[in-house]
Formats: sequence, structure tokens, C-alpha cells
Amino acid sequence: MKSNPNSKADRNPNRTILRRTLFLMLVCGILAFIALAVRLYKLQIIDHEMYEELAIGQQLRETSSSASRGIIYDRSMKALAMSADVENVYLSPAEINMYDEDTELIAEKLSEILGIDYDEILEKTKNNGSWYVTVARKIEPDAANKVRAFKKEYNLRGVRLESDTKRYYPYSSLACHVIGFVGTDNYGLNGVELKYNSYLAGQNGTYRRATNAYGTDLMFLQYEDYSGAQSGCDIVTTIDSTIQYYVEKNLAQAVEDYDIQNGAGAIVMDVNTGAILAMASIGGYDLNNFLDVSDEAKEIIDSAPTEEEKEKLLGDAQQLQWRNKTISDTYEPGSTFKIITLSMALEEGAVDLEDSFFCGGNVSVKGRTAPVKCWKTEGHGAQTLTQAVQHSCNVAFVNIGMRVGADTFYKYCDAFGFLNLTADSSEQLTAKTGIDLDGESGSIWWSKDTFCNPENMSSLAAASFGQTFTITPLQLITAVSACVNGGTLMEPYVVQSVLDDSGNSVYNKKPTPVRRVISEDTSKTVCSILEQVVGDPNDGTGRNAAVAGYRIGGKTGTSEKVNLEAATGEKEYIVSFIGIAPADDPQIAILVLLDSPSNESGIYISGGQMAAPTVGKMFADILPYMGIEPEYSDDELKAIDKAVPNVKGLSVSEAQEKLKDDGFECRIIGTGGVINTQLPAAGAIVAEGSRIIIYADSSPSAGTEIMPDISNMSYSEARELLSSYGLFIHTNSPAAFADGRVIVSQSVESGSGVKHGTVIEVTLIASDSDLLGRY
Amino acid sequence: MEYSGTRLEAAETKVKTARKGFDLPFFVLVMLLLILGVIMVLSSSYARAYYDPGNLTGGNPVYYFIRQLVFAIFGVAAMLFASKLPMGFFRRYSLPVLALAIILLLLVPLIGVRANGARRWIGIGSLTVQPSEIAKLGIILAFSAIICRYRGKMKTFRYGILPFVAILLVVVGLLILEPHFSASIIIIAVGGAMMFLGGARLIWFIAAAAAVGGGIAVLLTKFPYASTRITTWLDPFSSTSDEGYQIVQSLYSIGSGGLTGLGFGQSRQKFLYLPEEHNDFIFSVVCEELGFIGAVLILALFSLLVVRGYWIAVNSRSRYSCLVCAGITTLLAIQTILNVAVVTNLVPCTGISLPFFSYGGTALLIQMIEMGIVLSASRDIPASKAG
Repeated sequence: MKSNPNSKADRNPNRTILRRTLFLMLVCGILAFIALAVRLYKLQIIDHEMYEELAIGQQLRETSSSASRGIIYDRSMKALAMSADVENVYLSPAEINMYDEDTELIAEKLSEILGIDYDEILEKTKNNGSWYVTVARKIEPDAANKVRAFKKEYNLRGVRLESDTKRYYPYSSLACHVIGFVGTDNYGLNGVELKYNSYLAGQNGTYRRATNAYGTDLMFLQYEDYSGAQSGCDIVTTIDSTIQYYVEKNLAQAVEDYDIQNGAGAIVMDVNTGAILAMASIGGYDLNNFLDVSDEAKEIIDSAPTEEEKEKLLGDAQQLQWRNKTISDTYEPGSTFKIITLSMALEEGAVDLEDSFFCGGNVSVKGRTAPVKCWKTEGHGAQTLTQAVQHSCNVAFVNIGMRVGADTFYKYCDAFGFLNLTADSSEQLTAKTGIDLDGESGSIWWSKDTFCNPENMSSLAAASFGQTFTITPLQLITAVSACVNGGTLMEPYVVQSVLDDSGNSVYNKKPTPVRRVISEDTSKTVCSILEQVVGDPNDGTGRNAAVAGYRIGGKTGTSEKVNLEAATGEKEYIVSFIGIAPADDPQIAILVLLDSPSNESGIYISGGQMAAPTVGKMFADILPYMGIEPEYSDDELKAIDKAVPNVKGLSVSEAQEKLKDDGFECRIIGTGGVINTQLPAAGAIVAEGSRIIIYADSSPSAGTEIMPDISNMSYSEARELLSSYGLFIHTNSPAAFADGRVIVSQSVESGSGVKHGTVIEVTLIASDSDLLGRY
Repeated sequence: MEYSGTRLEAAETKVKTARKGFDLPFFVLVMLLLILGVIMVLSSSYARAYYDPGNLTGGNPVYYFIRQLVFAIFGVAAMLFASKLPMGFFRRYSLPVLALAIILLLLVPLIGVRANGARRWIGIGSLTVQPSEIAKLGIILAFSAIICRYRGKMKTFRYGILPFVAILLVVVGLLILEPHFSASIIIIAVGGAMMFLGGARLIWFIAAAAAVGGGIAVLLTKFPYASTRITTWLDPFSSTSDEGYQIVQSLYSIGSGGLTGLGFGQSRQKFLYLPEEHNDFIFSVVCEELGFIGAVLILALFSLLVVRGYWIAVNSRSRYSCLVCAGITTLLAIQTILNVAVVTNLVPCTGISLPFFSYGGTALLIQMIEMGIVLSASRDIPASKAG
């Protein structure tokens, strides 16, 4: 450009403007853009991966479809736990706000459908920042459909539903401690539900897709990734729900009859496999509402002064009801442990059936200042080995223990699974059975140095009759099963197989022998001795467990809570009984423990008076169910309760004859010639010799009677008394008419109203004075 | 301009001054950017128009696009029309345009339309216009005219500084009342550039820079609002403010674009994650969809357009044309640079639209008229210099 200040000087841009324009061109046209490009290079090339990850993190939504949880079956494929599809209702308050949806309408309708407080829902609709606020969890399809219809009617984007599953337990509290329960997140929290959660849970499906900022789908698909839900496996447990029912029924009855303060436990084990057929703890809880506690507990909680205390009490009560006593609580087994001492002594040849044991009421033990007393202070005198077991004689068993010797005794405790021997002989030892349930406690045993101290035999002496160590009930029944099944210790288990979707088994539990502990011959001898404990109506301390027609063996146990007495001075007992049947070829073992019976019950606190009859009643229910036929002796046959024949439509004389033939007496009411009604109805089982009421063209009066008190009566006394009231009597207790058997419980409480013809169920036990002792 | 009286002279003058064609490269660059811009409005606004969270579009996905397209067509017509008008026309109306802008700015507090907590718009029927856009043009035209009048006295304070600062104080004062800080900044920058081009002493700019620096320091210490902007700028990821969210989303968009981008129309961030995605943050969507390559190409087009604008200014036949072209080009450059700098978090967040791209009908129309003015000036460039 030429510079000519004289011509058109004012019209051409001068040098300054040009220079400065070029400067701006350089800065604004080139340098600034280079700077921007460098910045873009940093963001888009160098930091690309970081930003991409962050962006994808917010753009992808993951929704999961819950896998359906497997079913838990009992051994005969009855469903104990199953899942059903339910739905969760939630709100997206951000969208409610965005689309200006009617919060009051939403709150009103949802409150109506779901039965939730209106204000509570209204509050949730106002939580504008959130896309997910749960309103109701696990609602039934009916209610969910109502919510869906409401959502559709008003085209509400802020009201949402999602699928979920809910666990149902058809038998509510049955076998609750074995089955366990699941939390709201569908994760098992107890029992099989917890232990086998990984099998039951299956694999939740996930669906990942790119969405807009509101979490809804893009207009066109940009990214999608789907993995389908995989259903959980089904679990087949070893539990037999019928046996479990019988066990729980009788256990609950015992808790009531004996006013048990601290709960009770029972286990039924297949002695040959270690399979658990039933396992119960009282008090149980309804699996469908596992957070709810018993009414008694609620009362105590409600009376607590502060909210904090209430919460704590509720938590404690829940923990207590969820606790499986039979595997989580340890106790001193007491005399039931004599089976173990007996077995090892026989196996070692330390004793044989011909040996004689003298009991003078006590025995001195090396290292112990006071002599060990027998429960019968005047002593049992001379006894055979069988009698020593029948009498549950402590003195005899101290001698048997001494004959076995501490080292051998300790070795057998290891073999029976009560402790695990280690190289360190100064260490207290422990062991567990390894059952496939969580929460199993370990036993507590003296160290080998203490137990096998030749200068101090007191540990060995006490252990011989089951004291000063603690084990779990499960450990005891597992060891006793080994004593009677031919000598093999089996690993206990509650799950026998796991089935996949199509029913193929992916896991099959084979009965697992841990080791052989005693020989088959020894086992046979043990069985026959145990049968004498129950079956001998004169000498057996376990005779209250007898069942007419069946060969039952067993052993009682009564252990004082020594630690508790030392701490508080209170005397509390755990009474127990372990039974086996049939004694000639044992199939099942039953262990019942009753923790702290109350003195109020009026029954002498001991295993023989309380736990033995309970086990007897369980056997009476379970053995016929298992298809084991009763074989009655002539005496038994005579004493057994009988079914009432049908005499309706017969003439009076025909009816009298028929009843007489069946061993019943009769009482005629009315003057007609033909029997039109009878009490009790045909088929009812009542005591032999009961007086059946037959109505000849007449009707029973509608009146009721006041139930009399028949406790401590003999069976025939009670039968006569009830007959005069027009009532009948029946019992499952064996040898009901035998001497010394008295009624300890009745199905209708005395003083309550009862209709004519009602059959009163009673329990009889032998309560001879020679039976009353803590053994 | 004066013309001799005779017919011959008149005819000769007419031939001499017969207007030649406008600068083709500048026109092509403008059209390229405009077409790209309108297409990007379609891509970026599609999702928001469809989901319509603000209940504006009725769910019509091309709502914003159609409106922008109509304005673009009118804009092209306006540009061509403006390019036909002689520069003398604009010179004649320089001060009236500024006066009009000031009157409109005065009217804003009275009849202005309120949006996002500020009154910046004046409505004429369904059309709305920001007087600040007119003020930008008015400042450029008026300052050019004043500089031409006081040429030779520009180094004095009385003529080189005072009138310009007075006008700027009035305009910026009105803008701050709205409030409209980003327009204030641009107008100060453009006004300053005009004074710089006009020949004001550099010492004043150094003084002004010092004053601005001091002012910012005072602002930061006295006003917590301003300092949160700064902390948001320094670390947008830990900020909970709206600006922080915007910037973070913008960086996600730009960064996830990578070298080649997700492809045209494939932005995910535009699905309501990124606010103002068809407006102030449209360049983020460009980066996400077209990648580093596409974004740099578009920046290159802007750069070429700016360089060409200054080239036209340098080669203008008159001082006035030169100043106007340089002013308009500077305005274009500042808006573009600041917009991209904001969306890439180079400078603190403020609302500046990207020329030709950001959605906004009347602003686009005025921009196109400005381009027309540059094209008009380009017609006067002697053939020997055209190229």
C-alpha cells in the first residue's frame, strides 16, 4: 500500500489503523484459535478416556430383574419355603415435579390402595431432587394392578413399579430354625436360607442401556446390554415335615405342662445317616413375619420406660427367638452322657455285662476333697452293669470311668466328636459337628493336662456321668447315634440335595461317615442295655418313655446349671432324654431338652419325669408314621385304648352285646327300641372299659359339665370319675393301667366347660418314689 | 460524498463507482458456517424439543430447527440486501443506530420480557430481540464515524477517549441494570478495540487493563457470588452450582467426543444431560458428535472468516469501511473465542452465544446484517487488491 498523505488522506486508512488491524488479525484470528485448538486437544485426545468413562457412567442405567429364588422342600418334596412375584411401588419425585403431577391425588390414591399414611406419601412426593423413593415393598399382584391402573388413568410418570419376589413359608413356624428367612433384599439371613443362599439366590438379570437424563429410554437405541436372570436352585432338606410337626406339637405341650422357663429343644436324627429329620427350638416364630415377637415378649417390651430400651428389648427378643438352641446353645449333658462312657468301656473291655458295681451312696475320688455322691443318697447296693445304667448310678459310672482311664476316655471324646485333639496338651479343646447350618457353637473341654492328671481324677470322675464340660445337643445325639448304629460316627446334615431348574441334582449329599468309633458288637450291647432302661417297668429310670408295641431304648439326663447356682444361688435344671427306636435295629434317635422347668408345675423336676414322657409321645406319633408296625405283648394288648364301634341303628340288646364284646360298658338313655345316637361317636378311641352312652330314641342333652381335676389319679380312677360326667378318657402313654402311673396332664383344663361325650386326652407317668431323683 | 454536476461526470463517476461483486471467500465462509450451524441446531435441539421438559415445543422434535431455518433464510436475504447498500448509507445512519439501541435499552426495564431472572428482551409480536445485539452494531458504526470525524485528534484525551468512554458508560450502565454481564464484556471489548484501532494512545489501554485487573480483584473479595464463579471455574467437578453442573456436562460432551466423535446426530449428552445444548453450549455437542477433527475444522472456518474480515478491513477503500469491517470482525472473533473458551472451561462460565450456531433468531438476523455490511465494504475494494 502506498502512503500518500496529500491525496485522499482522510479516506484511506492510515498506518496506525493498518498496523493495529493486523495486530488484531494475528491475535483474534490466529493465536486465539490456536489456543482453543490446543485446549480441545487436551480435552478430546489426552483426557478423552476419562471423560468418556464419566459420561458413560451417567448415561447408562442398569435395571435388574430379580431371579426367582429356589424352593426349599422337605424330604418328601413338600414345599417349606417358596417365592412369589410381587412388586415394589416407588415414586420419582423429580418427574412428579417436572411434569407438574398432582401430588395430593397421588398421595390420596396410593394411601387408599396401599394402606399407607397419606401424609407420609405426600412428604415423599416433595423430595424433588430424587428419582427413586420407595413407597411400598413387596406388594401383592392385586394391589400392584390397582396402582398400575391408577398410573395409567392419570398418565403419571412419577409413580413407578418394579418387580420383586417375596418369600412365603406355607407352614409358618414349622422348622423355622432350620429353614431360616430372607431379608428385604432377598438375601438369606438364617438357617438353610442363609447357608445355601448362593444356590437359592440364582443370578439376577441386568439390563444396561443408554438413557436420557431422566432415566427414560432414548428415542433410538444407542447402547444395550442384557444378561438374563437365572433362577435359583431348589433345596431338598432332610426334614420330614410330619415328624417335625409331631416333635413341635409334643415339645410345645411339654413346655406348657412343665412350665418351662428357658425354652426347649429337640432333634430327631436318622441314626444310620446323620440326616436331621426334625429340629425344633421353642419358642419359634412365624417365618412369614420373622420380626414379630411373641405376645409375652411384646408385653415386656411395651412396659419398658424408654424407646431406646424398647428397641433393645425387641432386638434381644428377636435374637432369642431366631436362636437354634439345639446347635447354638451348649450345656452339661448330665446322665445322657453315660451312654458314651458305657460304650467306650464296653469297647475297651474295661467292663462286661457280668461285672458287678456296688453303690454305697458316694465314692471318693483322688484329688477331690468331697466324695462324689450318687443321686440316690442311700446308694443302689450291688448292681449289674445293666442295672447300673438302668439306675443311672453315678457311683458305678465313676468306677467305670476310672476303669477306662483318663487317656483313653479323652481319646474317645475325640473319636466321638466332642473335642479335636491337638498337639498342645495344655489347651482347652473344642469341636463342632460341621452340620450345614450357621451358628453352630463349639464344645468346651478341659485341656489334656488337666483331664489326664494322675494326681487329680476329679475331671474324669465328673465327665463319666456327663458333668463339668459343655457340648451342644447336636453333638450328643450325633455321638449317641454312633453308639447305636453299629459304631460309626456320621456327619449330621439338613440338606440332602440341590436341584437345578430342570430338576437335575447339582449336589447330592451322601451320608458321610466320620470314623468308626466302636464295634458293631459293642453297639448291639449298648442298644440292649438302653432298651432295659426304658423297657424294664421296675428298674428302668426311663420307663416313662415307653410306647406300647415298640422297643424303645434311651437314657435320661438332669443337669443342674452349676454356673448359674454359683452366680445367683438359684437352682435351675436342664432335663433331657435321648431315645432310640426300634431298640433291636435303631432307625431314629430323639433328643429332647427342657431348659429350666418350674417348680410350680407340681411335677418332680427330672429327665425321667418330664423329658422321657415327651420323647415317648413323640415316638408314639412318629414310629407308626414311619411305617414301623407295633407289636403288642398280651399285657399291652389288654391295656390298650380301643376304638368305639358303631351301634347306631341296632336294637338296644344288640348294641349292648356288641359293646360288651369290644370291651366297653354301656349306659342306656331313653326308652325306645333302636339306638339313634351314641356318645362318643363311632371310631373315637377311648380307654377300655369306658361306659359308652347309647340313646334309644332320645337325644343327648345340650348341657355342659365343669371339667373335674383328675391329676394324680390312676387311669381307671379317672375313667370312672369322668364316666359319671358323661366324659371319656384316652391316653397314648404306655402301660396306662400299670401300678404307680398317675395322670400328670389333661387336654381340658379343670374348671372349664366341656360337652358330654368329649374325649379327654391325658398323659400318665410313673412317679414311684424310687424314680424321684436328679439323674 | 460529493459528485460533480455534469451528466458526463455523473456517468463517469457512476462507472468508476459502480459496485463490483462482493468478496466471494468471505461470503462462502459465512454460508458454510451458517449451514453447519443450522444443521447443528437440528441435531442438538432434537432431544430437548422431543422430551419438551419446559412445555414449549409440544413435543415437536424439529421445533427449534424450523424456527432457526426460517431466520437463517431471512438472514441470508438481509445479508445480501445489506451488501447492496453503499457504505455511505451505513455511515449516515451510524449515530441513529446507536441512538436507537440506547432508546431500546432504556425501554427494556419498562416493557422488557423477563427470562432467567433478567430483563434482556423486547418483544414485537411473537418476535423478541435483544437490544444489546443492536447496541453492539451501533457501537461499531458510531465509533467508526466518530473516529473518522476526529481523525488526527485521536491521541488526545478529549477526543480520543472521552466521547467513547462516555458512550460506553451509558450503554454498559444500561446493560448492567438488566443485568447482562456477558453483553457488557463484549461491548467493552469491542468498544476498546475500536478505540485501539482509531489510534488512541496505548498508555490508556495499559491503564484500563490495570483498572480492570483491580476491579476484578475488588469484585472477587467483596462479592461472594463472583468468587464462587472463580472456584467453580477452577474446579467444576466439586462445585454444586448450576454453572458447575453445566461445565461438567460440557466437558463430558467434549471429552467423550474423542478424535472422530460419536458421529453426526449421535450425541448422548444432548439427551437432557447438557443444559443449553442448542444454545450457549452447542459447540460441546459439535465436539461430541464430530470429534476433535470436526471441531478443529469448524474453528478453522471461523479463523479463516476472521482473517478474511480483517483482510477486507485492511484493503477497504475508506477509513470508515476499514474501521467498521475491523470492528464487526473483532466482534465476531470475540464472541466465537469467548464461547469456545467458556464451553471448554478456559474462562469462567458466562452466557455467550456462538455466531451462526447458537439458537436465536433475531441475534442471527443481526449477525447476518453485520456480515452484509462487511460484504458491502468488500465491494469497494479495488480489483487489483481483490483476491
